[in-house]
Amino acid sequence: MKISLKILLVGLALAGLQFGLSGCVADVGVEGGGGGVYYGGGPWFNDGPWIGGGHWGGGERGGGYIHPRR
Amino acid sequence: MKNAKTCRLATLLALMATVGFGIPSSARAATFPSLNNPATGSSHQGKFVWVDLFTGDPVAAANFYSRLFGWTVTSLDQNGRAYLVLRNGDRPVAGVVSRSASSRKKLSRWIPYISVGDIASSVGKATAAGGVVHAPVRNFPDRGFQAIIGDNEGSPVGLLQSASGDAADSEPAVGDWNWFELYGKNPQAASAFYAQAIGYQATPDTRGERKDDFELSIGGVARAGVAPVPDREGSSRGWLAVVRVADIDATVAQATSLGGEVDLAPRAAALGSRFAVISDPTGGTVGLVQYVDNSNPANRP
Repeated sequence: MKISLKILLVGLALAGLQFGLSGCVADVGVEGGGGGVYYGGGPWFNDGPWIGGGHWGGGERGGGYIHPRR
Repeated sequence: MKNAKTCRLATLLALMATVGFGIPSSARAATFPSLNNPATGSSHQGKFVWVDLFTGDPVAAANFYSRLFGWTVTSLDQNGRAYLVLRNGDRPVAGVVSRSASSRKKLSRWIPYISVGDIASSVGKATAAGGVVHAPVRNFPDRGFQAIIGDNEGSPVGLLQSASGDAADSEPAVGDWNWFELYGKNPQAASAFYAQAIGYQATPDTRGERKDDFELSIGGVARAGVAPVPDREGSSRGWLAVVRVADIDATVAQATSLGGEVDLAPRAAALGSRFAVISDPTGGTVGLVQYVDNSNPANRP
């Protein structure tokens, strides 16, 4: 193998290693928890059931008062 | 000679790749746009000033809302993950955040942020009133200090101490957030929580026939409502953010054509307006309101 090719491969391997270690593609937990939600460039909090949405519960009664009163 | 050139080129490429990937993540993350530019220099405790959609499919959600409301979408690189900023005209109105990989098939949720002057104090009052901290206070440059708490019934809501102050109150334009309503099991207890945590005055809303609704106001300005959620399986508690639209029937029809669902078909609401609730294709739920004569009925004599 040519020396130039070896250098290129070693360089790319190093780059790949740093990419993998940087957490760019993997979920990073917060304080040891589960998957972290990225916000502002890093994990801010752990994802969890509390953040999951659900179908609207207002039913047929409508939506309360929906106008700001000045 | 040719080999020497190739060798130098390969070495240079390897060096660039190594250095490029090795830059600390924080140095490559774009900062959020400030809420107000220029800064206002004033804070409006209790005002709802930002909304984030936490979703498993940010692109699908952003496409839906941009087509539905005419919002434009800007992507900020957040260390390899995009934070999408939604703008109504030139004003940023919301963000779209990707959930973790393990939760990407769960339903999305809009979380509004309430302006506070001292976020540490407000978080302390919230926990003392029975709330929990989901996302700890953190300073996001140009945006400000943010936290997400769960209220006394577990509904998530954000707190935001804006670095650029808060905008003055004005009539919501078409495409702006118009109102925020909390649906809870016990509106009176939930109202008491927000009164303690934020400093709202919680009063029974006597403007209509419903006698178990509450209004959260501060400084004489109504900021939100609290209404009961039906006691039935499948009903979800939480905050509903409401967007003003020009033609509610057309908006609902378009939402359906874009893959959304209609949770509540357009109907007459308080003060002569029309109201509906829809869900985007990822499950995020928003309310819609149309002023019947193109003016805020709450301001009519």
